[in-house]
Amino acid sequence: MNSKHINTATHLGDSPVVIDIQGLNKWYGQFHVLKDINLQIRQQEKVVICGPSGSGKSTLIRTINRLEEHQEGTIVVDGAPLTNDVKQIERVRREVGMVFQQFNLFPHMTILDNVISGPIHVRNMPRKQALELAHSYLERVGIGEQANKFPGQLSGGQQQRVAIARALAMQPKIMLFDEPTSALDPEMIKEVLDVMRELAEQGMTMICVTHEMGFAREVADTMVFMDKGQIVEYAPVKEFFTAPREERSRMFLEQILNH
Amino acid sequence: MVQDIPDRLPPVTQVGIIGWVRKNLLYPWYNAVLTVVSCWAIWAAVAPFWEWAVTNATITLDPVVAKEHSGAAWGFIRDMWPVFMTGVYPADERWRPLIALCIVVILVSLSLVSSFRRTRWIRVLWFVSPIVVFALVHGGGITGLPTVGTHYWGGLMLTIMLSIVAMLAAFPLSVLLALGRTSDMPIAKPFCVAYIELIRGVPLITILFMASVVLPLFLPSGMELDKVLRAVVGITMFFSAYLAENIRGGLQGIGKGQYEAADALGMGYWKKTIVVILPQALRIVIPPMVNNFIGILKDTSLVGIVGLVDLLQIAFATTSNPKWFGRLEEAYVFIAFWYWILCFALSSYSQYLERKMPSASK
Repeated sequence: MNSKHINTATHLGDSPVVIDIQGLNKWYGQFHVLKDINLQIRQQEKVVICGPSGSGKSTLIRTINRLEEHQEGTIVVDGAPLTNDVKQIERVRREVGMVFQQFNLFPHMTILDNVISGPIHVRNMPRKQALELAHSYLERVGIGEQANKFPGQLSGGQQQRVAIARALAMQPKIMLFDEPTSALDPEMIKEVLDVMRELAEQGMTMICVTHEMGFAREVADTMVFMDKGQIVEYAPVKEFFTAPREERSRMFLEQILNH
Repeated sequence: MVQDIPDRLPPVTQVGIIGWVRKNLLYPWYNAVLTVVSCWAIWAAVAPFWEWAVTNATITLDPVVAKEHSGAAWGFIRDMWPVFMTGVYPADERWRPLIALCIVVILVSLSLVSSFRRTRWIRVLWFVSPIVVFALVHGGGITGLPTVGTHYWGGLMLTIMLSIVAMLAAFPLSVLLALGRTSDMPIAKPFCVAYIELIRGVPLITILFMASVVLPLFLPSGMELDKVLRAVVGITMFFSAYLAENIRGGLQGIGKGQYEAADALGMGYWKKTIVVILPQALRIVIPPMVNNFIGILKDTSLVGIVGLVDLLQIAFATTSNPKWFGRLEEAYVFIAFWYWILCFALSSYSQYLERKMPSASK
């Protein structure tokens, strides 16, 4: 099953590969968390990674911007291979936005300062231009009026939308979402998913780790199902939900859809 | 259909002052006993002091007349207060430290005004004013003022100068030490650990002795380091180790998510540290940090051991003067008052800062 995958997002057939993962292996001490991962992601492709907890899906997404080191294999992001070269890593991170489960907004800064922190301190953008950019992204995620509040004064759903705006303000080519709705109250999940849906429609390359199967079915091009550190099934979204090839995927889907 | 229940006020549980007194001081019976005993204890301590400091006291400038009173001779303080303030600084030049004091007071007040604090001017002033103050108090060189060497500096002026310079120098040093210790740099980390553990393991007095007695042995003959400078270096070295450990505590209080969020934006180490981590870490450690600053202020009284005449030494010097011989109680009360004012000001400022800065929690 771990032979090279053929990219099945046929409508994106000739767009360039922006993330190329080959023979990736990772260990935490003795524990083998990622096993022989091969994955190519094309520009504008939306990939949803799902699987039981502990299957390594968050670890996988975190290796793409080197929040986790890997020990074997190659990861090439936007033409740049990830090695120990710090400058190279920072270059990749500038092009790859990330949204975390716990939002991770900077609590000592206002919403606006959170959003301009990347453009100003990393892209060295003039403050005025950064502010314009930040306001436009805050409008886009529907937080325009809250710009001068602090993160602690916002609801979880609002904070997560600010986190998305903060990542977008870096104008990244790729967005990574690591369980963006798992820490939210049920009534706030929709507002975050709506923002992500809109982002997908605008053609962003997205990789999401999520349990929201309704969202996946609607937005994803490709589904990746992981279990015990390996990719068990890689399939176009329609095929994955209607006719999964693997027994384990079928069982996972049954559990998650019939709860 | 369910009707909305209208909001109403909470029930009244405490009725006025009498209610408060009854609830907090007299109920149950053992609290009433404790209240009476405490009141008696406070009275027993305060009454004799009041008698000495106010009722039987005198403010006459004549030491012979003062001897006829059983209470405090505040005339001693009236007579000697310029010496308490500036030590043996030449009397004709005392206007210079006074202006320097005004500069410091104005600078601090301006820093408290929030509209001014955010401007670039305040930073420029903070950099320039120590140089101006030094030039003014020391004189000589291009200032055209008569030189007053550091061996003439003393009293409250010296205490404040030592404390401020030591605080300003120890703070950045301790931030670097804390960052070094929490990093995984191969040389810097063991160096910082060794420095902190070594310095924390010896008393301040030892370091002051080292700085004043041992250090000159290593210097080429003829080269001499200023006594005040040596004391400042000693105090700075000592407190930077303590401060570094407090700041390290703050650094450890910052969640992994903050580091990751900064990393994910592509910030390098220094950007991440200065923009994201330090502002939050320092906010957490304001109380222990101010505790250290208060420690610095009070521990400057040890510099008497290496021959500097700070506020405490002035108390000894003025009371061995035959004119006011043995008036130690008055001197102690007076300098205790000054130490308390300064420490309390620091403490109040820290509480103001804590209220002002956005909380680091969530």
